[in-house]
Amino acid sequence: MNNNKDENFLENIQTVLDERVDNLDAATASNLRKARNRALEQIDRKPLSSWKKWSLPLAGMAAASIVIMLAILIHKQPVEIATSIGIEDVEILVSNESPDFYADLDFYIWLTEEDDFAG
Amino acid sequence: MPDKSLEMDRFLTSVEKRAFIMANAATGCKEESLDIVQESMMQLVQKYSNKKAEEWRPLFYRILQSRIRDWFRRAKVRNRWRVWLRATSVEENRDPIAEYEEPRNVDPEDVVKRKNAMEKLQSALRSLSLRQQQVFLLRTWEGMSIAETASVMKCSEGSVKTHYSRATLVLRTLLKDEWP
Repeated sequence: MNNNKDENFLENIQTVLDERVDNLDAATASNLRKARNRALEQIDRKPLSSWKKWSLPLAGMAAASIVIMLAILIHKQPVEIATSIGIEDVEILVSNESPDFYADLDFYIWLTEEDDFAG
Repeated sequence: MPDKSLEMDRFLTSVEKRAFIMANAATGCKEESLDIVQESMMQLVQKYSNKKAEEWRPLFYRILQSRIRDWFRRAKVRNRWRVWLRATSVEENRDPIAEYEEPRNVDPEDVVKRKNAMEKLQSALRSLSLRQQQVFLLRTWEGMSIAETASVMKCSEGSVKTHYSRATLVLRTLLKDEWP
């Protein structure tokens, strides 16, 4: 008796839920259809294996680090050279010596060293 | 592979509306329920479309349950913030005209009756705990065995039995006037 009552009660609930499925509003049914189609588009796309999932971003990061390091190194060197050349240029421009003096600078330096050594 | 695609399409068609109603019983929100169902379908297709078709149903419901639980956890956090910030609730933002479901049956009395019954059932289901509610729906509506339900819900069979009997008791009490 009690079992029958329970069965009826549960059957009623099932019926109401089934009716809800059958009478689902058109907008929701359409959204569900769209969602299903979006999901089905994935069926032929092979999922990335776990090592690929990790290796791609890691390789990207490694490549980016290398590029950044190279950029820093390349950028640093010319700056130093440019600075040293710049200072020498300024000295030449500011000094009263003729440009020929600077052209023979190596000779004068050698001569000074020779003099020091001789005397 | 078109056969596989067709088979999957057929399977998803058979479960999408039921899944939506289960998610809706848990969330009470149409958009959230649609998102949950879509994510579940996506995950099933991406991860398990290569499995046998017979395995899809338990896998799909397992994913669905997992998504519902995730939503529930997020909703708890969101609600805490909402209370704290005194933001407007979802209920206040609802547009009853936009949500109105146009009846397709000609008999208006029948439509009203059905709508009332569903609303009462929906409200009774929402008064259950998430576990009780989902166990009840999986057992009663999806016709899953205790073992299947336990596997889908990731809990013990004893726990399924307890949740199910408590859910039935509460629903009986709440719906006794509706279905004596």
